[in-house]
Amino acid sequence: MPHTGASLRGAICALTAAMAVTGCGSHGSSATAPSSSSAAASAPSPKATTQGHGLSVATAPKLASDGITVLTSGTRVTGSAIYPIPGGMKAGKTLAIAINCQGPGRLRVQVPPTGISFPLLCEKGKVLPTMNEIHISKGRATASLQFAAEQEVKWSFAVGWDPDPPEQH
Amino acid sequence: MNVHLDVKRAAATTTAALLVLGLGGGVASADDIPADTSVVVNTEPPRATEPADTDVVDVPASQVNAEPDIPGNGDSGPGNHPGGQICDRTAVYTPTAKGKDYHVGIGAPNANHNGTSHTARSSFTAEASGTVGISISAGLSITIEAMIGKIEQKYNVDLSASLTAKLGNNFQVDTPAHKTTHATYGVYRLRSQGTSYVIYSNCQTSAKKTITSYTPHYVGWYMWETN
Repeated sequence: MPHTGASLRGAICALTAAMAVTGCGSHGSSATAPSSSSAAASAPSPKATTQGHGLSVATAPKLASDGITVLTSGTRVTGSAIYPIPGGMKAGKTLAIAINCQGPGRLRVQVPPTGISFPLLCEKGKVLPTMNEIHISKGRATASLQFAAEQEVKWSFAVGWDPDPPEQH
Repeated sequence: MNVHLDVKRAAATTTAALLVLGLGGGVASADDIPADTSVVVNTEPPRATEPADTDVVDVPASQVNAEPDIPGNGDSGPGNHPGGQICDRTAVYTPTAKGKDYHVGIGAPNANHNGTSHTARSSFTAEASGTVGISISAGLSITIEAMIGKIEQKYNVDLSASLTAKLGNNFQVDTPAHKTTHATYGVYRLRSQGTSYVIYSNCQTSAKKTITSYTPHYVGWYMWETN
């Protein structure tokens, strides 16, 4: 469940994110001090989170390669963050939420105002690539992706509408 | 389905616990929520593979780096003639087509019916774990690991030789009044095709084979809905 105290911070973050798609970390002392940003290219940190065939929390899941138009994404996110989903919920479309996470720890993901909610159990020293696809039947003018993670969790994500979900051939 | 997945179940029974609503005409004790909340409307379960792909077989994780057993391996190949043209013996795999993701469920899908007149929240919890690897048709002349690298490079994707969907993963979603939400947890795999052959030392080539493969891409849920 979301922390009540995070709501105000989240709202402020949402305003910030609406302008710059910027993650708002809970580790910062205020909403203007994000713990992470989607602007990964500007971060000179070492590439310490790669695994196997290139999975990383330093890069967003490559949804565009799957034919999915990315609505918002972020890299090296930590703490809590809220990202507005541009355009809100689109009726009749399949929402694809892809997340690469690395722990150890738990990352909770919610998509208010829908009831979509799920946790990820992120492992130490290993990037877990996840994808959850949900077809949306009713449109919403606004919606957002809300994250709340334990301290050592770091993740990247990308969200989009899948034009060709698995059940349609 | 002819594909046998490398699935190890940690729980022998169901894959989801329906925490809110009963199945069928069960008593609804869910938290009613506004009826205009977004809900899921898919109407079919996902497929694990294309029905036409009857020739793909599962590959044990231990074989991902194994050199393929190719006819002519270790000699100069068919039709070798002393004094003829000499080539470096080369195994080739060239990706030719990228398909879509297919979802391999760990255990059976689960359903949650909302018999009330209000939208209600459904909660699904995976009660099994499973590891899903690669499935591939015959004739690959390079290692599977090398093939994965070729596919990743050509199509800008990140794939894995195997992925594990773990016990206890939970997903909550809204179920509209009088609807049933279905949920399956497992591994998304990318279907792709390529051409594979060997160039022998006499510069002749083996027959070109079309290779169909399903390679683990993501772990996660897939949700759909029926009346």
